[in-house]
Amino acid sequence: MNLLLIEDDAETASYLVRGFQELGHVVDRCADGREGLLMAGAGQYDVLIVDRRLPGVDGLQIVKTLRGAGVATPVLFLTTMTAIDDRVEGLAAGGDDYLVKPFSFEELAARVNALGRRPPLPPQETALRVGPLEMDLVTRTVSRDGVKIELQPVEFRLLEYLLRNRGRVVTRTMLMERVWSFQFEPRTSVVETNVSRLRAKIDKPFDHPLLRTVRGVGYVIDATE
Amino acid sequence: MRTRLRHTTVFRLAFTYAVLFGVAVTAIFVAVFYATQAQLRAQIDAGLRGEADALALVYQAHGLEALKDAVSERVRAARKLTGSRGPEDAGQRFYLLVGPQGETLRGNLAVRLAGGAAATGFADIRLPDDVHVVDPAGDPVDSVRLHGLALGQGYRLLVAQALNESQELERTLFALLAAALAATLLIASAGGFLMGRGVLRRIAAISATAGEIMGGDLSRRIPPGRRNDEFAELARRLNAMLERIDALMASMREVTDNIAHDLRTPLTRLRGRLEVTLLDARDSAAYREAMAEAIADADGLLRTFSALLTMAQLHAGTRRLPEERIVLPELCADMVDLYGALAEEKSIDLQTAGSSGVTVRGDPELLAQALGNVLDNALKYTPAGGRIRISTGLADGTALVCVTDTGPGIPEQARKRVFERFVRLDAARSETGNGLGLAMVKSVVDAHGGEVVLMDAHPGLEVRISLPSAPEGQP
Repeated sequence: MNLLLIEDDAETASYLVRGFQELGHVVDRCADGREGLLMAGAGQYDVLIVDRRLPGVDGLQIVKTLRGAGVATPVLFLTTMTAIDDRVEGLAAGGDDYLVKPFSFEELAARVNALGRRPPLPPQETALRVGPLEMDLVTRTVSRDGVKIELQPVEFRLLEYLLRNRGRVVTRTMLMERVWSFQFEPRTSVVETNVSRLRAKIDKPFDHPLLRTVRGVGYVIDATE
Repeated sequence: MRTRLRHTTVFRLAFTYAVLFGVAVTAIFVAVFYATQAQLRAQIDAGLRGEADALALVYQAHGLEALKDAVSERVRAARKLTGSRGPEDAGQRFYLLVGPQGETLRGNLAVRLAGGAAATGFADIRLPDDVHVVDPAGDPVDSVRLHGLALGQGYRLLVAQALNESQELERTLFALLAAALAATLLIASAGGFLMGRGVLRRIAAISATAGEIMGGDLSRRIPPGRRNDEFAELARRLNAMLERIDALMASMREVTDNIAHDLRTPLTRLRGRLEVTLLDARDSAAYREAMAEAIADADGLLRTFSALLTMAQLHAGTRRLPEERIVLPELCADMVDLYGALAEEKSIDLQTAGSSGVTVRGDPELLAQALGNVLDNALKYTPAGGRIRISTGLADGTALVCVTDTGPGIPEQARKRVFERFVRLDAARSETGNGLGLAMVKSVVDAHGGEVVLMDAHPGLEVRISLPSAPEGQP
């Protein structure tokens, strides 16, 4: 993917650029808001990663300007502030996702992946599939190798989100936000428990696992061995 | 650190008031003086007019010769009274009868003086230096009050009175008034000075105490003084403030100590893990594992930091809370949706119950977090086979959320303490968690204008959160 990182802190920027390059992405970086706005407007990027506080033009302003000019490139905001107002403001300005510093690189990478390769799925898609696992969105049933699997509503939502992001790592925080619409971080292993219960139903009875844990990061569902 | 009196507010006030008071007193004195003087003059004028009229009556009744005799008689009487044998005029009253050509017919007023006062009516005359006149006491007279009366056919009668007596009276009065004014100013200044010094002494006491406190002795308090006045009130207030600061400092110290303990442990663990990895790790898998654990440690530290930050913001009121409508039963149902799997895993029966329409206003994220923290605790401490109930309801315009478990509960004497930061009942801190869970709950509920109390559920613990209700109908 082609990424543009607009971040004024040199150290953060350099470790992010290295990280993304490791993952095989092409990263342009600039430290100034004005320059960033020009690059974002001119270049062909898959995802913009924008710091909220920037010299020159403020991150919020960059996104407002881009959206005003009809540039629809997905934007992920970075910020040091934890106030919820900030996130609401950022999303209202046209940002697609939001991450509070300090964050783990895996979390950022997972979110950038989710934004960048957001599949152009038609909304009327009726079935999601990974390998032998199939989810029918109309009848709300799940089956593997033709065997029907009974899922609780919450398990169904969890699996649906994983399947929509198949092949990509999703983090615990992303699951909390997207499946349960909660922003806080629980102090008990509630997300893990939900995932393991889902796994017990879709993987345990079968010969090879589809839902894998990526240690310290999150989960991924795919059909590869 | 003595403030010089001259530069103090108190001195300026005292001085200003002394001056204003002095001006007022002077004005009164001046008015009294002139009123007295005018009264004296009026009396003199009335006397002169009476004497002149009496002589005029003699002239009209008995003719000029009779008048001449009458004047001579009065002059003689005056001389006799004074005992004067000199050439000078003497007496309290003076007389002069002037003919049509201005010649002196009778009398004891000097001719020059009479010539200078040709007019009729009243006049103050200052006697020339070479005219020697004495009053009955023998004191020289330097000015007289003169009354002239035309008798007809060119004859004029002049009657004068020495102003000695009246001038002396005026002088005495003036001296008295001046002395009284001086005394007033003196008393006002001295009073102001003394009062000022008293006030300064009280302020100096406060200032000295403040200095000692700044010097590090936080236990110092301002002496309230003997009187129960404004200064005593000020001292009480300042002392109350100092108590509060002292208490805050103490709790701050406690938090700092706890932070030091809570962060030092994971930091030490993190450091140790990395060090051991450097020594022991043989392959990249081992490194990888160690790194993942190190990251988990760092995440725990960051969580503690961010919880502390959120609570500080809530406490300081710097965080603006959104005013979103939150339907509590829905929030609780979402919670059960998330926590249900974990409860089932631990064989705990987790249920929610309550009437619909229990709504509040606030920050859904923060309330979810608070409720999550309560559930985290309940799940942690409730034994397998236990039960957790989340119930919502309304009571007297207050929205209630109660989380009841069948765990060991919290002893009554510890129920207040668990809301403090970093307080854990298991002193060894062996359980996971950062000790901020319930403190965060309290911060969030406080910020929403609510209250959280812990109660005995016989057996178990009931966490009762009450929040101001925002009924459906309201905008």
